[in-house]
Amino acid sequence: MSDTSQPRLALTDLSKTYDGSTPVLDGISLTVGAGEFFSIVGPSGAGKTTLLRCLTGLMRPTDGQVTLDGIPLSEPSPKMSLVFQEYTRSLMPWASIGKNVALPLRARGVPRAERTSRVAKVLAEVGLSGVEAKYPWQLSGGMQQRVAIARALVTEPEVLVMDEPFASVDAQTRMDLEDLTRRLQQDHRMTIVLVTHDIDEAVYLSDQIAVLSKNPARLVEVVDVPLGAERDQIHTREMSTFADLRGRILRTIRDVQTQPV
Amino acid sequence: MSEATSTLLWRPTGGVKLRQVGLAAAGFVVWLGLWQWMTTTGPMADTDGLPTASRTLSSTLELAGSSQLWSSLGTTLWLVAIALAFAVVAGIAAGVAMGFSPVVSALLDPISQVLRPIPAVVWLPLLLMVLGPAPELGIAMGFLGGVWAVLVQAQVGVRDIDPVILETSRAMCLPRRLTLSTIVLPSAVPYFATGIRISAAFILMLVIGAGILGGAPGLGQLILVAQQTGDPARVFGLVLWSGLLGLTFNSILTAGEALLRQHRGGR
Repeated sequence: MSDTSQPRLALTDLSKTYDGSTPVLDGISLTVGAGEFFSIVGPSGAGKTTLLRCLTGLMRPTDGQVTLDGIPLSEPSPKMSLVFQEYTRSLMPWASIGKNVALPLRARGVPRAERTSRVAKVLAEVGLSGVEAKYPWQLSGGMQQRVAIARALVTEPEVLVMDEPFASVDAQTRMDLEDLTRRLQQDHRMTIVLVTHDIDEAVYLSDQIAVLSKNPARLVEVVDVPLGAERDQIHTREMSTFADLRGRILRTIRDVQTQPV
Repeated sequence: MSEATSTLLWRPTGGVKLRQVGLAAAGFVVWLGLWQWMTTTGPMADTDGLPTASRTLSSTLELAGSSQLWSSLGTTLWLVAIALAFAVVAGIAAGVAMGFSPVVSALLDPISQVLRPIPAVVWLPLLLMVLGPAPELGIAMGFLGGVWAVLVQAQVGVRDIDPVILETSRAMCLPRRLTLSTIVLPSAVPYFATGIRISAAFILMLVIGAGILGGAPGLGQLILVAQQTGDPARVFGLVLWSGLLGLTFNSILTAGEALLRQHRGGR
């Protein structure tokens, strides 16, 4: 981030206004360095999902632009993968896990044999070896989200964007998935952009956190998270730096929420 | 949900089943008894063209041994199958195209809105003039009556796709062709199944109707001939056979629909 190299993802003066209403996003600029774990937090209804849709190319911003490796993004890029909160809705219930995970490879014209081996490899990486023939509804929620993560990883993306990916699973599963995500990011030196409403989660996972305000969403601050590369669900969360950052971000969000509009 | 339905259909419990069969049989006995009484000593005795229950039953049973009945049933089912095949292919193709592409929808939807409400029987005089009392008459009538249910269901099915999975496919950079074959079509399968079931019932009705009203071959034609030769017991017997055919046909379709829905995977 602090070096002079080009950022992986850059948002410049991004604004979004839906037809005939007040702006949702207002002049958001931020940069995400390669290999960084970057989270976006903000009060409920701040337009985090709108921001995510704009930065993945699923939606055109009204103003400003998004660049991926310096190239302006106007539609979803094959270098980017997306994981949604609703795994039950983003997986195809009529297709086996193997077919679900292989789909992005089919879109890229990868031959069948290579698809099979890459699917097996990525499923092993998320701890789900040998489930190819099963169907999504035969797996638990946490396992289904692992499948969705595997599908996002199978194309070896440079950037993984996650929209509240752990909001629909139980607490224990959530911790497992957080650690899995962090480990995958380290192993693949991948850039991750995580949108979450959970400040603890953001602090635990991230290298940097962008805090948004609400009505419209503006960038309030970008917080560095100096917790090191290795994170641990118990030790990291006990560190005073963790508590300080958590308190600081929560306070900021409470302040922007209570401000008169 | 579909699993529960098929369990109900195929695995009835013994005791309840026996009682129900007994009650159903009692209902039939009362019905036939009343009928027999009405047409022999009761108020409708000696009404012209109204056969007694016993004559109708014996005629119905007699028909079971008639090769004419079976070949007519076969013809009717064959015409239904052809009409259904056309209706399914055309209905799904047009419905999916209309659901998937706003341009195609703007082009075809007005036509569909105009043609759909026309009761299919209304086409009969025109078709009879063009085709004559041929098998094609039955097929054409069946098609015109059956295509709309498939088309509308296909359209709704495609429009009803979960936006999350569509976003997912966009984010995966799937080409349109692959989105269509791997996401849109499988996701709409339950709608196709419902459309086909509704459509097939219409088609059966219209193929038989085309026989009765227009002389197209099959069960309908057999009824028409029995009527023209003044044999009401035979007409009535054929009516009962049509009912039996419809019942069998519908159970098969309902089971088929449940199977298709199940195959798609339950959530």
